[in-house]
Amino acid sequence: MVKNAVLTGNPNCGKTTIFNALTGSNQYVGNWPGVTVEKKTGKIKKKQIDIDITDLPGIYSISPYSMEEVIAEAYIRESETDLVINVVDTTAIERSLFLTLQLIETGKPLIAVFNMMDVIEKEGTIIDVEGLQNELGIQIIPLSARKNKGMDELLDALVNEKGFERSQSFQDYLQTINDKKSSQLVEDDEMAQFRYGYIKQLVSRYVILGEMRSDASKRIDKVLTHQHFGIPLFLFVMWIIYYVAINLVGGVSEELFETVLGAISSLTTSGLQQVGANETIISLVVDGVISGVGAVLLFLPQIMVLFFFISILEDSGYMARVSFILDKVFRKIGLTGKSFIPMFVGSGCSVPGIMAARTLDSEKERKMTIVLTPFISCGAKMPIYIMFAAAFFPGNTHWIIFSMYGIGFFAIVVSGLLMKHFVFKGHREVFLLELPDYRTPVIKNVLRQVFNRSKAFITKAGTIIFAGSVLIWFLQSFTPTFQLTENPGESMLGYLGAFISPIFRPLGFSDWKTSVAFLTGFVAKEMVVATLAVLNDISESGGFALLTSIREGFTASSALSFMTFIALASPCIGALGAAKRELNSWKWTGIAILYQTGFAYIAAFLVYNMSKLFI
Amino acid sequence: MSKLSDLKPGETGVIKTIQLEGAVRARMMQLGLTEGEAITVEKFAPLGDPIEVSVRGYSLCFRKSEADKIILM
Repeated sequence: MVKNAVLTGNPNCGKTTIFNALTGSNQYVGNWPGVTVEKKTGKIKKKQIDIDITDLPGIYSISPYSMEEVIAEAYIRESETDLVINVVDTTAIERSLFLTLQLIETGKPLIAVFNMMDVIEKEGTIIDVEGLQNELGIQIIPLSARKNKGMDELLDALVNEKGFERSQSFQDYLQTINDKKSSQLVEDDEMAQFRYGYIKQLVSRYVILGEMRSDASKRIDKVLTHQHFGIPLFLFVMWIIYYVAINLVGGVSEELFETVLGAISSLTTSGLQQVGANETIISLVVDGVISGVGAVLLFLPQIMVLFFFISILEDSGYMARVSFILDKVFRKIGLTGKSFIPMFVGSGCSVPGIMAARTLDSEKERKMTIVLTPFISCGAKMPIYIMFAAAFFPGNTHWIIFSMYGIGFFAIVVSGLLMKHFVFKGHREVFLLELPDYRTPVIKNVLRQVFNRSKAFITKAGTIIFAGSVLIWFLQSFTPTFQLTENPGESMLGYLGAFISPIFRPLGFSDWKTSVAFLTGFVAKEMVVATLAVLNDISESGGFALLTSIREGFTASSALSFMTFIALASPCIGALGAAKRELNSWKWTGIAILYQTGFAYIAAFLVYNMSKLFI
Repeated sequence: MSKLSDLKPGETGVIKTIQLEGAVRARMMQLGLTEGEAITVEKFAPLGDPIEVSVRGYSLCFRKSEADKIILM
């Protein structure tokens, strides 16, 4: 009886589609403790089956050369797994069988799922499944996850285990491999050579490779990674994504949300008043919680659309091409092209962006990417830029926003160079990336991925921002002697702001209100504008009144320096929490905060003083 | 000594040995870049680096600095 199963296979083998098909919504995505590697677990609850299944990260082999492989090997060896389900990408059968052999060598019960049978059939490739079963002594299920063919046979195999005998030639192979392993004089390369030698024999005996291999991917790549058009096309794709997500969708959804939010606020206020609630409580709920959490959720539609596009690109195989195209640029700062994805996701929200760093190959790359990703302005910073740009540079709003992203890139480049030369000196970065065939994205996978990434954002809103909103409401509603006050200047938050504001004098904005707004930005960047509105006693944050008060409280230069500081300083608590979880160390998180904020301070200082020369 | 980095797009060579250190070399061999195996250069990235190759029926990319250390027969 199988109670615990483990799903494993090469990256891009279709494992995720199968995992989703088996578990449906009964899945949970987390981390392996202590490391930046994603862990997915779920339950198969179909027909009579009740099996816990763990999805291991995609690996090409079991060896001690990457965190994913170390974890996979340890888990298979140490856990109470009853069954290893090895998903094989039949379009790259030789390479896929390498892992299969290693898995069989572990001695754990195994069934192989030969996925993408539909693709190889079109190529004219024929696999003698029965022959292979009797050679390797394992059950093989031919399957096309994409076309949903073979899933019933897989479920059946989980319940009705069939045994097969290993052939003599395979037993000889196993004997030799075990001798090599125990001799300790044999290196990994010799083993790899030997395994592939056996695989060549298997393929010659049991596989007829088809001649009609589709060159669709090659033809598409001729365009997408074209010598001259590849990069412009990529930039165009980026532009379209942002335009649709932020301008089109954002434009519509924001107005809708604000109306809904306004309605909820009024209803709640009158509802609480009818129940006879205390003024303080009403203020807490409406001005604190609803407005705080609402300001964040306002962004949800834009962010979901952005994540949707990113997932489509990932699933189709285009993202691998993007890493291929951009690697040379990232290489200069000590990273690889793979760092693009976390930063791209981070432009929506840093929380899932930081989590996306799990896909990178080395700990160094992951650490660097986690620290640098927040320099790319997240969606929440937009209202700040829009507001200040409108106040001082009307008509040039787009340029200002573009500059803030530009400052973010600049910060990444400078930081990368500094880290490359001083922190990670001599470390050689290796870039190895499979370019899978282009495939039509599986919508179910895409939606699930969007859900998982958005969930990170929503959870942040539901927990941290909720708590933070309450805290800020409290600090701005009460004086240091705990008396209720209508004047934020007399509140604890006001005193705190006044206390820290001298620090910002060299940057041009040492008004206590601005300092307070900055502090609330630690809870959520969305709160900065909202706070400025509240402190200036303005009821509508988007209104003309706020523009006026910003014009009074800032100059063009101090506006630029404030935006620069916001762009680069440490992200909100939600992102810091994600960073701490991924870095798994308070020390590194502390270093990240100091670095980011210190860098932001210097940059804002430079921007303030240099811009005074021109403006 | 013929190297992978000497090949032009469309050209195929047969791998003789990989002159890289431990982990990288092991990783490449696990991916199927073993002695005697055919490897074809498909193209170079728009910025000139990395290069895309095909081996054992699939496509892979890595940097020229690595390709420079893959010796062909």
